[in-house]
Amino acid sequence: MPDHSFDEFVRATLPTLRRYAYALTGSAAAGDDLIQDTLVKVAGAWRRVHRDGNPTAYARTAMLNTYLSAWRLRRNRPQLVPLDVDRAGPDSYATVDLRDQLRRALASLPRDQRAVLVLGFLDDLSDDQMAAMLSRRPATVRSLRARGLAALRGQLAVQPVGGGTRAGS
Amino acid sequence: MQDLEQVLREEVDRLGALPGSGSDAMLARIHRQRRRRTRTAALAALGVTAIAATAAGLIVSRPVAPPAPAAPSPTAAIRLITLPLQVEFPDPEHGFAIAESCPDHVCQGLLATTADGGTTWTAHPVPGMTYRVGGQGPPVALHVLDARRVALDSYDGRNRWFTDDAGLSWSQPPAAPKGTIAQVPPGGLAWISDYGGTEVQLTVLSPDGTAARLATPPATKARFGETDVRVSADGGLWMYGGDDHGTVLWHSRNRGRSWQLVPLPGDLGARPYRGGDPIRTAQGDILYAVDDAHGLVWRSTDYGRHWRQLQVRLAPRRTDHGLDAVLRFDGGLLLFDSEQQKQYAVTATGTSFAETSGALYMGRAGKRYLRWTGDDPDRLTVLHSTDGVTWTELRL
Repeated sequence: MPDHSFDEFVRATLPTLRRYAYALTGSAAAGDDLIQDTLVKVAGAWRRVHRDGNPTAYARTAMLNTYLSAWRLRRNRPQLVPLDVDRAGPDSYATVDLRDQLRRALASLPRDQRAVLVLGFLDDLSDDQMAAMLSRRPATVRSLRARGLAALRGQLAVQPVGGGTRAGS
Repeated sequence: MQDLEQVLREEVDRLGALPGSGSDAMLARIHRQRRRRTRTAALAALGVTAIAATAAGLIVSRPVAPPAPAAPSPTAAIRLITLPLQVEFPDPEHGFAIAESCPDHVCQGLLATTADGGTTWTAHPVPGMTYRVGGQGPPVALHVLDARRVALDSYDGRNRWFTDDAGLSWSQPPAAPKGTIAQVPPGGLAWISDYGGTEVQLTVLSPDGTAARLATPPATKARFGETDVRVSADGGLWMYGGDDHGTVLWHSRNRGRSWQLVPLPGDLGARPYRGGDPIRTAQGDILYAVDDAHGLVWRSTDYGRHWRQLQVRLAPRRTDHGLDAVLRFDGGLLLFDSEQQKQYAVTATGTSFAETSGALYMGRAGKRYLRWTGDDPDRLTVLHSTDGVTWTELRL
């Protein structure tokens, strides 16, 4: 019998998991699906996970593994376009375009490369920390990040907000 | 000038801060997925229907554990809970459904019962099962053992309400399993309680409302699957499971003393398990396997040892979902292709598999078919039937 209920855990940790899920998947809808799949797994192992003392870490790792493995095969669904991004305001077209390009470029990356970039930029995790979470060697993490950034540079024409010279590539 | 890494950092931060669903909504999704039962998974997406009625039921209760708001008047409006819908007919005449009444911002959990094939229902308040308005019904899972015995287990595993007289009186046996049991006793149920460690753990609910661990669960490592162990018409036990790398189905013909891994046809065994029932096991000896990605159907008449692909040419499919099936009580199969808006029927002998029309999309809730109508999830009408042709509204 757990000391604290699974429901309490979900309520407490959902904001943290949501950040990861949304950044990994690129949208709230897909992120919620990922959270759901992850927490169903956590719920199934709740007794052991809770006994081991760090359910949040377990859930985060489970989410990464779910995302990296077969979650890509989850049933297709129509892609929603976030209105807050695509509704351009005055003089913000460059930002909208850039975000759109970046979002598409991120989505085109292999999942392990995207995971490394998200983990690194979202929480400033070190290579060693990411390696532990992803069950990879630190050198592999560095390689994934380098390849991911190179791929993004290859696809993007990064411009400063408000116009300017092309960077990257 | 912003460099790529700075832009990327901002985008990741922005994505991570997107507004999302609340914890209550997410918990409902999680519990719904874990609690999916034999009935079609689509039932879990049902809304609610509010039907006024008058509660009845003589209660003989023991003190119950969690401090809760004062019990409301049992004469308030009663509504059938349909998110998730928890209705079960252990036989064609007897049925149970989770309901609630919520006067004055306090809800009382109810067990609605019928003994006349769903023509009339009686709502019995469950003592101590009170909670504040705003959730999605009482946070309990319905376990129906037979026409009189029902257990309601709270999602957090802390409480069990048990009745052996169809809701007239209630007790609260310990919810936690105590000791081990060699087999699932006749009239008992089992469900997956833990996937951790080296093997899955099964909780067995005996007809007296007590629970114990099954001594010999399937020897499988950490996996996740449907919560409930299915009991087929011939008494066999079936346990779905899987992970991101495959799907498995275990079968026991001796009430859980030993288990056999059922070979799945096609590439079903190599596909990630996404919940639901890829194999229709309700009949036991005759099984149907539905591959909704490729539009293939197989049939087995020897508990899954051998499979025969049914020769039917389904319309080309664009997605890997939208193909659902219901095992008919006569042993036939109805297949619904919501993507192509087509339906197919397999005869009980398996000799004919042809496109058909006129069948209503439905699932099973024990020994009755179940379906619903309406677009507003708050105003859905739930119907049940023994033959899939004549339907009776579930009106509390």
